[in-house]
Amino acid sequence: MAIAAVGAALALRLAAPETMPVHTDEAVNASILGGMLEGRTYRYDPVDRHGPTLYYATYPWVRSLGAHGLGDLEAWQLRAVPALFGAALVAALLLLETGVPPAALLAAALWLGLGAPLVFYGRTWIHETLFVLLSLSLVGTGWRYATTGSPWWAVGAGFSCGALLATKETAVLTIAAGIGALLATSGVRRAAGAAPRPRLKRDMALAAGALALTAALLYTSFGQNPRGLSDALRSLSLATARASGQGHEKPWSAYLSWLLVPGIRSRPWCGWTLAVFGFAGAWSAWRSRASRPLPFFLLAYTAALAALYSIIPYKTPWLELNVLAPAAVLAGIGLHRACAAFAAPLRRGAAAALVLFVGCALGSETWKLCFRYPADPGNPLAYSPTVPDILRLEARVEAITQGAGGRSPVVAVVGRDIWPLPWYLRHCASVGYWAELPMNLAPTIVVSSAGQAESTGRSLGPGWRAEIYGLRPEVLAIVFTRLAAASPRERDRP
Amino acid sequence: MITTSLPLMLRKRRTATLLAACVALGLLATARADDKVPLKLDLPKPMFVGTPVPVKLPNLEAPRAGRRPDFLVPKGVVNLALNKKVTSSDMEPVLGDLSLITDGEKAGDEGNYVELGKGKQWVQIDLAQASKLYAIVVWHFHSQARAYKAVVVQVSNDPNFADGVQTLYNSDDQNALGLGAGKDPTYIETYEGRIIDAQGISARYVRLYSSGNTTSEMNHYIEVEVYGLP
Repeated sequence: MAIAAVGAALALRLAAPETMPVHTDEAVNASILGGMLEGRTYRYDPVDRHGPTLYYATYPWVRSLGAHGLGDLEAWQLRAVPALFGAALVAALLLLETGVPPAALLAAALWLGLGAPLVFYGRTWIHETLFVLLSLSLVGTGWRYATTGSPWWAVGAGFSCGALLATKETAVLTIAAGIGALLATSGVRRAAGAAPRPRLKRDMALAAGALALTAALLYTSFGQNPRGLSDALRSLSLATARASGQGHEKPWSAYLSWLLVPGIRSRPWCGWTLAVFGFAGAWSAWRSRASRPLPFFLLAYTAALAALYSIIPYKTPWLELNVLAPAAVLAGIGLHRACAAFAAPLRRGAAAALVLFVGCALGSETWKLCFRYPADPGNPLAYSPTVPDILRLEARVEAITQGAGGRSPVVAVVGRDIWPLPWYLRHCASVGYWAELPMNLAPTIVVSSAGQAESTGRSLGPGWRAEIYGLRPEVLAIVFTRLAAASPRERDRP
Repeated sequence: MITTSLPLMLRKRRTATLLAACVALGLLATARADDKVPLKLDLPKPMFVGTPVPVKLPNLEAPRAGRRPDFLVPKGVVNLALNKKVTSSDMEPVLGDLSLITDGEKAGDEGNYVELGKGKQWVQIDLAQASKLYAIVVWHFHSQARAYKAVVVQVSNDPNFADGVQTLYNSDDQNALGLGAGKDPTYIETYEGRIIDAQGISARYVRLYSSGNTTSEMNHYIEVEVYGLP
């Protein structure tokens, strides 16, 4: 059953990977990876970038496919990586096996494998799915250490924590929530008379060593960029400043709204079912807190994460995965308890009906948000998505540059708000990016941000025509093409 | 003493009559022009602020400073499309229903627009009888800056648009719809809607085409008003 759940989660994430245009964040990540493929040393940039794990995790895979630069990459290659992480997230539930009933973990796999937010971001080449996998891995290895006392689990927890820190700056929130939940659980356990572990100090030193080594290796680009370590520390203060919003500020209730308010494209079945069964699981965890520490830890951890992410003004929909993953385990416990509440003769049938209902509800939302409307402005998961019109722009540029014959056509991109154009123009041999159109340039085609289109048009002078294209909702680009290069009908236009 | 022959006198009188008639016609024409009044539109609340694309380019809509110039129509024109029957190439819209297009509500919020499927789609309004039309005003979508592609507006007395079709607006510069390449500019949608000059053409049916927009491949209509003399 567990293998089937992991396989289904993987298939769902790998299916039709190019349904959604490449998001701006994916394009930015791809340009960093493209530099690494071209032989440039990766250097961690703490100002506006996340950590290096995603790039190092993707590099060997795309290199094995023969990629040597941005131009060799395809979206499906990149998106296969978070798809694997998303499937691994389902598999990571096995780490919790000794603390949560296996049937409850299987139920939790429904949400982790099939829930729309988890599938959506498991199909998007950004850091979040890897981050959530490492978070669950940290909880799972920590739990295994707590129950077995094996130092290897301590080292595993240290590795997970180090990789977590090297993935995103929000690791501090995960760690803070984890420590808070651990203290709450320890308090309950002490009250219940549980004894502390004897070699705790040694094992903590081992975990700390694994953590430091992992984070240091990744941030320093495996020793090639020692400054990466100080930059990693600097990133914490920068992230604190960024937490105020920087254009992404939302009210505290934004996550609740994204998860629970019906949209024009779909009913939020993932949020609704998680709320119902998650509360049932939370109630069960609270009631059995003295005898079952892991569900209680997960309850405290989920609550702490939900509070932290809600308080911080900076909010994007993918951050909700951090709360959804542990909440899915609570929902699994809730669903398991709900099934167990039925009288024995009805239990099997009722359980099958409940699981079928949850599965169908989650599946319908996932179908609509991940496959039918993945880049629609009405999709609550599609945050500032790249719009399908960009494919028209890409085709137009390709048609003109290929029609230029033996000449090497120059594509000039003008403006600051032009992402994700570097991804869509990656096949152009001569493409350059400028804040203003250079005077001495003789471009074949000019793509300008809408804000600078008028000045670009003035610089180009007569003999050009302009076409309008969408990049993202509200963000437009103007493509200038030479009338001489256009068809006779186009040249006749006023 | 001056004497004038009878034929000459008759010729002069005829000339004077002609002159008087011309003056009278001129005055009448002036009076009719004076009968024209600015088209009064009940505009919805703006949903985004500022000019989204400050572009002044040959085949794109030039930005406008200040209020939109008056569009003159004869006195007595009314919105003939209000609550009239609407048909479409997509009779099962993705969102909303076709009656929203002529219900008089132009707010850009959710629930006030109809969404038709991907690619080339049209909507058609049956005005119930042929009338002289002077302005067609269309609001596709105005809660965010976007441009609709291949906007074509036609009128006809044939419900199938096979005969007597007159094209009033065509921004389909690539001839994506197969109705002929147009030379009208692409424009960014705003709460003011788009006024299309119907030139006093008599027609019963109005058909509006589009083929997606710069944000999605879907087609939207909030409202279409057709001003003419009843």
